[in-house]
Amino acid sequence: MRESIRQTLTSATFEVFEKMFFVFLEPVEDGQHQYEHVSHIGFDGKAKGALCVMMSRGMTEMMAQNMLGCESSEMTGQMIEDCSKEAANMVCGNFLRKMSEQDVFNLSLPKYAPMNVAENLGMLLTGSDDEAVFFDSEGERLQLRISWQEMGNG
Amino acid sequence: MSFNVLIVDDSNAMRSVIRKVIQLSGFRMDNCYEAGNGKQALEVLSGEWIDVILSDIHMPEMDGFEMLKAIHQNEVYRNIPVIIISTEGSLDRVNEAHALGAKGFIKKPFLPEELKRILHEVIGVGDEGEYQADTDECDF
Repeated sequence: MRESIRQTLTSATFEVFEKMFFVFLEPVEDGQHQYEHVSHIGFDGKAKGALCVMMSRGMTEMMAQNMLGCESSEMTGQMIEDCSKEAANMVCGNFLRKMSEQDVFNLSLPKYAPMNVAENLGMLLTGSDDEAVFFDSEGERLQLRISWQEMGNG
Repeated sequence: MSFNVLIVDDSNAMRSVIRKVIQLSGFRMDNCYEAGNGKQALEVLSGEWIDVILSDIHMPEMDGFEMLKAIHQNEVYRNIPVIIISTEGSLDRVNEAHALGAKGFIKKPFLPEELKRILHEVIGVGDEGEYQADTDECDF
C-alpha cells in the first residue's frame, strides 16, 4: 500500500506540474533542501489525511512564471501564494482520483505559508507513517508529504 | 458573434490561466468577468449579460454546486451554460454536477485543448465566423 501511495502521488505530481505549470520534474532520493514555501490541504472520505507541498524559492518562481506567463520582475507574493495553493489543490485532487475514482472525497481549502511560519501552524507533516516524494527541476526542489489513513466501514 | 464569459474560481492564478486559454483558443470574447466564489458570481449575473460560466466547485462562502442550484432555480439565469472546472472529479461529483444543470465538466489538471473542445461543444458554436480557432492546438 505504501509503495502504491508513493507511485500514485508521483504520477499525480508529474501530471499536474507538466500540464499546469510546464515544469518537468525528475524524482530524486534526497529530500534535504532549503524549502521556502509550503502549501497544505486536507481530505476526508474513504481515507482521511493531508498533503503538504514544500517548494524551493526558485521552484515557486518557475511555477508562477510558467503558469501566469509573467516575468520575475512582475511577480508578487500573492501570485506565489496562489500558485502554491493551486499546486496542493490539483495534486491532491488528482491523487485521490487516481487512488479511487469511485469515491467522493471532501477537500479542505488549501493553505499557504512561508516555511518559517508553516512549522508553527502545523502544516508540515512529520508523522512516521507519512509518505514523501522528492523532485528536482533545473536544480530547484520540490517535496510532497502525504498522510493517508483508511477509514473503517463501521 | 462574441461572448461574455464569467470565470468563477477563488484562485486568481487559475482565473488568469482560464482567461488566457480562452483568449488563445480563438473564441471571440467580448467581456470576461471574474468572481471569487458563487455569491460574487450571482452578483455579476444580476448586472451583466453572461453567455457562459466556467466555475470551480471548491470555493469559500458559496461553492460551485450551491451556485449551480441558485442558477437553476432562476428563470432568467437557468439557460446560461455552466462548465465546471474542478479537481474534484469522482464519478459521483461529475454526475451531481450534471444533475444540477452543468453542461460540461473539466478535471484539473487540464490541457488547453480540452477546455477549448468543451467550450466549443457547450456554447454550440461551430459555424464559420463564430469559432475563430485555426488549428486544434493552442499556442499556450
